[in-house]
Amino acid sequence: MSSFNQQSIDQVSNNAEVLDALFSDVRSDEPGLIDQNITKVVLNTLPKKVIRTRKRSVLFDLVGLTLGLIAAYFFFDIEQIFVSSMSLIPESLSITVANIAAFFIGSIVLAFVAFWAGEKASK
Amino acid sequence: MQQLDDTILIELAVNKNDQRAYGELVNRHQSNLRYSMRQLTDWNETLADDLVQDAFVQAFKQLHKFRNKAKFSSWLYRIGYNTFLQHVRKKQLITESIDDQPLAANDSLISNDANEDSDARSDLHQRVAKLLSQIEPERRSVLHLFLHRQHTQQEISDIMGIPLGSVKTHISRGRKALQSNLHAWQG
Repeated sequence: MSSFNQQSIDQVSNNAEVLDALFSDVRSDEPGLIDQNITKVVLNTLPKKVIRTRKRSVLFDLVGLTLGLIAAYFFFDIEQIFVSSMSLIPESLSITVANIAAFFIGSIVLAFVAFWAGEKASK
Repeated sequence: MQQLDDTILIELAVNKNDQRAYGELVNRHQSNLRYSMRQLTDWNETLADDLVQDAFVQAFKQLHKFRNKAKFSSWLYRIGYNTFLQHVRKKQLITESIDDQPLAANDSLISNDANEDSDARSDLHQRVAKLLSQIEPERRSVLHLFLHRQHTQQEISDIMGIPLGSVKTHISRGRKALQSNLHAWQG
């Protein structure tokens, strides 16, 4: 190995040690920053409208679902909807490449829509 | 309130909407986060504090999503880092990489002169921030977490939400870049 190469390796090794020593110094010397009204400013900036907590969120969803079901019972002909829905189911189903492709594409689209709606709702 | 664990304070803030509990969390973690943000922003104290305030507000909005699998400080850092990234994207903070362009010897970041030793000591944190500022933001954050906060590579991957392989690459190349800069300084 040439002396030049050895010197380069020594230099790199030396720099690595210097870097570690530098960060070691900084770490041990890290100042504890005094709270210069940061807490006060943050608390004053928090949204006034209280975020919905997990329990409350579930409660809202359950109440909404119940009210929706009650409204549906009085305003819609449930029996007719059921019969109409059942009539949509085909008596026989032929499995073709086109059907499978349509099924997968439909599933993917629905999954994306559900994901997007979930992400939007969580923001 | 000061005696309570982070987990309990979070529960109080989320389930009871106790803002005093959240205030205690802010008070407890503001120093570390502000220091980290200063290291990421080339020790721009005003900018760092603004980012920290934004991060704490964002954290409050998302507090119900926090899971105790991670430490609150790590989760908070991630929000702070994302806030910093958003700022960088908006303002296009100057982040010229030193990977391809080491600083010249006379642009020294760390003085080797004995006469300037006390100055270098007092400015140590700002000088390190300056050193880091020459590196692109994601790599800068990885290096800060690795070299300063001493997180493991896996922890950094979890905190920043980037693949482990990317963390390893950032550390390897980032260290070389920093060493190269030190090499330029040493002449």
